[in-house]
Amino acid sequence: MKLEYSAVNHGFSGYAGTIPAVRNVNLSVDEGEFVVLLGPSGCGKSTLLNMAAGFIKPDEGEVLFSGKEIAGPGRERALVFQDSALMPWLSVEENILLAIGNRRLKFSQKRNAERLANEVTRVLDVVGLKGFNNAMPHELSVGMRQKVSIARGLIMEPQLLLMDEPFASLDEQTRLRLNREVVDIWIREPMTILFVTHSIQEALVVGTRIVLMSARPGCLISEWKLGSHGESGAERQRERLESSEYRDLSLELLNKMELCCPPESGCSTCLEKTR
Amino acid sequence: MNNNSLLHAAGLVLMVIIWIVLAVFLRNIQGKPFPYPWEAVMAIIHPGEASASIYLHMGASILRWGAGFGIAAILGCFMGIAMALSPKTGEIFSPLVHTLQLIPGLAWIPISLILFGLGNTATIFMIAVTAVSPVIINTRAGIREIDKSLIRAAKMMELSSYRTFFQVIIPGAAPSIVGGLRIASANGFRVLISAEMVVGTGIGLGYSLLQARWNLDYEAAFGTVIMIALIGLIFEKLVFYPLELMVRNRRGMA
Repeated sequence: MKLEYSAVNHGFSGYAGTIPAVRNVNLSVDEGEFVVLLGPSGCGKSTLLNMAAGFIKPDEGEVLFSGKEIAGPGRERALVFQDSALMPWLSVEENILLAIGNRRLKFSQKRNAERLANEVTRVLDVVGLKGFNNAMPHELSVGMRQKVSIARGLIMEPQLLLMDEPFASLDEQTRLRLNREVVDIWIREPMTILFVTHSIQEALVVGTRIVLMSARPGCLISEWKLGSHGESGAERQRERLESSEYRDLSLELLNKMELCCPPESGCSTCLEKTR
Repeated sequence: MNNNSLLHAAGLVLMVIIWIVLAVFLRNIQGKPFPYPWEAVMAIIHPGEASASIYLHMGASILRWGAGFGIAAILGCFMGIAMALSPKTGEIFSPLVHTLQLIPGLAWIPISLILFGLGNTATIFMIAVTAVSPVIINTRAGIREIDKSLIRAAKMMELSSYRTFFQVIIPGAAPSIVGGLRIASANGFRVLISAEMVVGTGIGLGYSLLQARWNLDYEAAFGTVIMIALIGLIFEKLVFYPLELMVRNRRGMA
């Protein structure tokens, strides 16, 4: 259950002609990894994520999941949207149940209903929203809505969880707390995560590997393996924020984020820019 | 009773006061037979010997309006859905629908008379044809304006097209659809009264209004206007207000 991008190129056509978004991307994400795709806004990282989700087909190259080309959206690849994308007319529970095909418990048989109710309780417990079953999305904070969105992803029992800048609109304290909680969820529920962000700090505290993308057209610049620190999200966050090694890495990321593609990638646009 | 209901009641009382002041002025200074509110109300309760009971007029009007509005609602929703789901269908019918919206209801009188002659069917046709375009336009817009990420979420969850339609698209478009029905019902109601004045069949509120004018029975004319307003108000409060509350409040829209 490996996610692989091989020689992926993609552009978007608009009034200004075709604008290259992603150039020559080769990346593979192994089972159980927590990979962070870091890059400036508009660099094509969400495009890559949407290819994995099956919403975008690459112009060139291919994106493979478990060795098969991704043909469209699928339940084994759950996506947590930037704006949570919960149905505003459904309660938290109904939103989660929608993901397993039953909107209301009472319509199904009793034994089945009990099992589903337990499932909902379990995923809400995992994301720390126990007892919020009947809350409506508009009654929740942005962070809580994202947690429901994660819970909705979890109940689908995906092999791959794709997260598209899930905490970009949150304040820093809340974001750091949710970063800890995402790591905890990943420790409790074994799965592969591909996490997109433009925040260096967020990238540093969550994943096991950081992949850095250049500004548009997005190429992969470099990557860093972080190892799995700590038994919990809190420990990981503390260790990484406090170590000098990570402070250096954060500076390095900051400098490299300005860069274009590495010269050996042969990206003509970038070679021109650096000249 | 909350604060707003009190304010609404105050507005009504103010209107009645203005009416009385106006009546006093017009009667005593200009000598016009402008009726007082209570006279109009009495005319509703005890109609003249010659005219049918106001309740019969009301019943006939409501039935016609119901038929016309019902046709417009069902046809409009289907058309709107078809035009939203199939872009080609949408482009074919879009100019037609927008033109239809510009035609005032009474302009249909000659056409509906040729098609259906004097009678109920002509009135119902006029109501339906003026009420249908807001339903189509709002249904189509409501579906097209559903947040794209909700549709993506439905795809990600691999919902069947049946579920996507009934559990994402229709509830997503519901506030806009209800808004369209509301406009349609008001349009239809206005056309109904005017149509009854022209294509009358001897019964209906519009006919009764015209008859009152011919008889110089101003009390009855004012009474009929009150009944028309009351029917509109009751329908608004009993049907659309709860419907709107249902689709808007649940999702936290003010």
